[in-house]
Amino acid sequence: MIIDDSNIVTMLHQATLERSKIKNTVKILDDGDTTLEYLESHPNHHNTKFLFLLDINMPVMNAWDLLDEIQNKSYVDNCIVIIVSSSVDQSDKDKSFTYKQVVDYIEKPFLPVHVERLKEMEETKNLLRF
Amino acid sequence: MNNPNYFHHKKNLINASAEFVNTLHSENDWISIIEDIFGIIGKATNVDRVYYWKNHPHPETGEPSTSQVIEWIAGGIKPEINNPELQNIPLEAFQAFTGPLKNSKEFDAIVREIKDEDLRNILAEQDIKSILVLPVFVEQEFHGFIGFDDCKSERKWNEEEYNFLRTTIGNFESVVEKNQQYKKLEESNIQLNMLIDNIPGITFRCKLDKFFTMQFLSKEFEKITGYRSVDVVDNKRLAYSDIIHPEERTLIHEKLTKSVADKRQCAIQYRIIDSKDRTKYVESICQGVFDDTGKLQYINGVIFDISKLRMQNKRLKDIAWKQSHIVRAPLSRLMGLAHLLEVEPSQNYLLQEILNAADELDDIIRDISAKTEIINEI
Repeated sequence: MIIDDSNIVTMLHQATLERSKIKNTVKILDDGDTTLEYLESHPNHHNTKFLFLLDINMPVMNAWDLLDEIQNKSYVDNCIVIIVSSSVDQSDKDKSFTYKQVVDYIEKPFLPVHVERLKEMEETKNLLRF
Repeated sequence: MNNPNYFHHKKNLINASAEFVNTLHSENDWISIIEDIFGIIGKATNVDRVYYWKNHPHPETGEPSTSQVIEWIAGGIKPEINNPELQNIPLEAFQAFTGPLKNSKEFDAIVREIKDEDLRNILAEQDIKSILVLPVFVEQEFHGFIGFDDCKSERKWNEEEYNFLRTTIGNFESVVEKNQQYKKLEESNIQLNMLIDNIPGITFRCKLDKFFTMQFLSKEFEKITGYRSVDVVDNKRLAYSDIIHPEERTLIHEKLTKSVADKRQCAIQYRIIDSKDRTKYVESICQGVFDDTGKLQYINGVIFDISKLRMQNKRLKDIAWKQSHIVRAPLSRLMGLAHLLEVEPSQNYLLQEILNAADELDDIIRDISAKTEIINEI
C-alpha cells in the first residue's frame, strides 16, 4: 500500500518499486481516511499482511491519526508500517517508533537503495516478492 | 618596691589595660575613641605624648611612608597632630628609627644620646627628652607604630611598663586586624549584593520543605513574579510553593530532594503563576549547602525567567518543522524525479547538476533541523 496525498510521490514510489523488480500488488491511497475504509472493507483483512509505505502529512487523516485508529482493530498485527516522509525532524522519527507497527522510517525520496534495505529487514523481507 | 606610689602606678596600669581592652572591643567606630584611650595610657604611664602613626604608600611617589594619625598630649605640651612635617614621611628617611621597628623591635632612646643628628634635632625640637616607640604589626605586615614621649625626664622604662605597653599594642593590633577584616567583609558584602542585584534572575535561599520556605529573595523576584519578596520570605503572606504551577509542585520537590541527597546541582524548568495570573516559564539552578556533619542547612540558587526564550525556541521549532515538512516535500519530489531521470543517460551532466543542487539544499534543511533539535523544550 502506498499512502500519500501527492500523485507525483505515489508515481515515484511505484517507479522505485518497479526499478527494484518488486512484483507485489500495489494499492494507492491518498490519505488515512481512505486507507482505513480500504482496510475495513477488505474481505480478508484477518489473513492478509498489509505493508504500508505511509506518508505523515496528509489532509483529513494523517499518519498519526491512522495509526491511532488501527490500534484497536482486530487486524492491527497484520499491518507493517514503513513511514516514508519528507520530514527530517527527529521528533517525527521518535514519534513514529512509538507505534509497534512501525518498522522503518525512510526520508523521501524513496529510492531503490531503500527497497534493498527492506529486502534485508526481518520484518519485511518475507512480504516482498521480487 | 615598698613605695606606695609603685602600687598605685601598677594599679593604674592594670586599670588602663582593662579599660583599653573593653573599649576597643566594644566599639566599631574605634578610631574616634582611640584618643581617649591614649589619654588613659598616657596618664597611667605618666608620659606627655602618645601617638599613633600609620604606614601607607606615599600619595605622590608610592614609596612606603608613614603619617601621624592620632595624638594625645598631657596638659601644657605642644600638640604636633597638625604639623604638616609629620605627614607622608618616607620610612627610609629615618632608618635609625624605623629600622628596628620594621624588625619588630622597639625604639627606646634618650634623645640627647641619639647618634643620628637629623632625628635627634627633630625630636629635640618637640621638647622630647626620651622616647619609646613600639611597632604595630597587622596580618604580619608592618602597619605603623605607637610612640610615648616624655618631655620632662630622661626616662628608663621598667619591665612592668614594657609588659603593659606590649600587651596594649598586642590588643591594639588585634583590634586593627579585626577592623580590617570587618572592612574587607563589608566590601565583599557590598560587592556580593551588587552582583546579586545585577544578576538577571532571582537569587534565593530556601528550606527543603513542601513550601520551599524562602529565607532570602533578591530584588528580581518582584520583577518576575509581581509579588513582594517580604510577603514570601518565611511564608508571611504566601509561600513560594503557592506561586509554582500546581501540576509541578510535587515533581519539583521530588527532583530537588533527590539532587540534595546526591549532593548534586539541580537544574529544573517549571511553570509559575505570577501575581496577574499569567503563566511564566522559569529555570532554577540550585544546590544544597551542608554543615560539617553533612546535614543540609539550606538550598542556594538562582531562578531565571525563560518565558521569552521558550517562545523564541518554539518559533524556531515551528520554522524548523515547516522547513522539514513543507519546504522539503517539493524538494524530495524534485530529488525523486531527478533520480528517476537518471536512468536516461542523455544529458546526464545536466541531471547531475540538478541532483547536486538538490542535495545541497537538502543538506541545508537537514542542518537547520538538526540545530533546532538541541533546543530543549519543557
